[in-house]
Amino acid sequence: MDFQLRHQGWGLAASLVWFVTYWTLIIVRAATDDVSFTKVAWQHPLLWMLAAGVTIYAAIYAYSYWSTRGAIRTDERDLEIRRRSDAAGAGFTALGAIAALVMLALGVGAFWVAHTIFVASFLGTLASTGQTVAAYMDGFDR
Amino acid sequence: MSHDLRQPDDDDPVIMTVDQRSVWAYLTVVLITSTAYFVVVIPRALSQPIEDVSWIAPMLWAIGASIVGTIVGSIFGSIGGAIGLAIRGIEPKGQLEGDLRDKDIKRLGDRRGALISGGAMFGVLVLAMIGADAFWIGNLVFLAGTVGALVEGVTKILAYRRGF
Amino acid sequence: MPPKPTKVTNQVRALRFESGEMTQADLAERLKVTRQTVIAIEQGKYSPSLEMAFEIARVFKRPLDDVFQYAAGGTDDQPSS
Repeated sequence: MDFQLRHQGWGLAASLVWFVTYWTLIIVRAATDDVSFTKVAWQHPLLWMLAAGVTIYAAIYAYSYWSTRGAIRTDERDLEIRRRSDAAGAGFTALGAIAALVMLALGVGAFWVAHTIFVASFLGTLASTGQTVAAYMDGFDR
Repeated sequence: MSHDLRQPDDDDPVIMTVDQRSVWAYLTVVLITSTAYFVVVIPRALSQPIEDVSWIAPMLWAIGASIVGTIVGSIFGSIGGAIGLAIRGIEPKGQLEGDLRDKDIKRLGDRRGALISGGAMFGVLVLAMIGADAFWIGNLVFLAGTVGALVEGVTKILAYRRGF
Repeated sequence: MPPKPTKVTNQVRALRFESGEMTQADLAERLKVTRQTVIAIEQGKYSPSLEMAFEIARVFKRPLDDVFQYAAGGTDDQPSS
């Protein structure tokens, strides 16, 4: 369980920092490029941030894996907690998808569509990871 | 508390709970509406430039129809179950309403379906990033949602019938 | 993928018959679950929760071991009695 708690907990903290960093980048860029917020060139920052995020998460995962060597990393309790927590986040992603479809139908720009999906998925991940960490700390009932 | 209805014997046929009936309704409806959507839109996409294809109205119809159809189908399924029992004079309590097992199966199916449709969102993000036409973005979302729904439904039905 | 067969077997069906021909529906009512769940447990298609396992044993007024058996093959193999 140490392994799961470690990489999920650190992942949660890192993703919050990551999320704030992305928006800071975008806002600063919009200000310095002197364009309206929705017209800012967001594609490259997002791409780089996604790449950075994946790398950081991989590092957290690898560190957690290495520091739990010799112990059982995933037992049935871990699997059960993971199953329960995944459900918490799925709703957000689904909501984001529906909102994206509505936006596409209304002809809203790519900026909004992409960021709706992005934020919705992020909130979903936040919800399920948060639920996972809480389940480890407080336990859960059937 | 006396009933006019009897408890089921062991050799009375095993019926489906309302939750299981809902899953069948969901699966059937999603198959029908998504097939109808693709039958309408794919020919258009093949014969016209992508930006001109009118896909939004068919998609909204398909989604609306699947939501309504699932609800209606579930209701009819439940009523059918209740009537079937009443005809044989059997008490419905303890056979129709879902319990912990139904909740467990729902959790399993929902999760598998969400993994698929959620995972595809990443592809949608990429499409939006590279400035793909709204047609591709919208249809990937729809396809992901449909495949996710089918996986969810099949997972649940298999869990009901084969156990898990 | 097909579910792994559970290593837990049970005597629920036999115990039901011993308890005055209790039907699946009777047992389900006492456990507050559906008849389908009782059937699934008897056929090894559903593992009851620990709480439910204890409640089943309590209905039959038997110890847990009499109702559920775990296929040994692990390290502590102790013959009973």
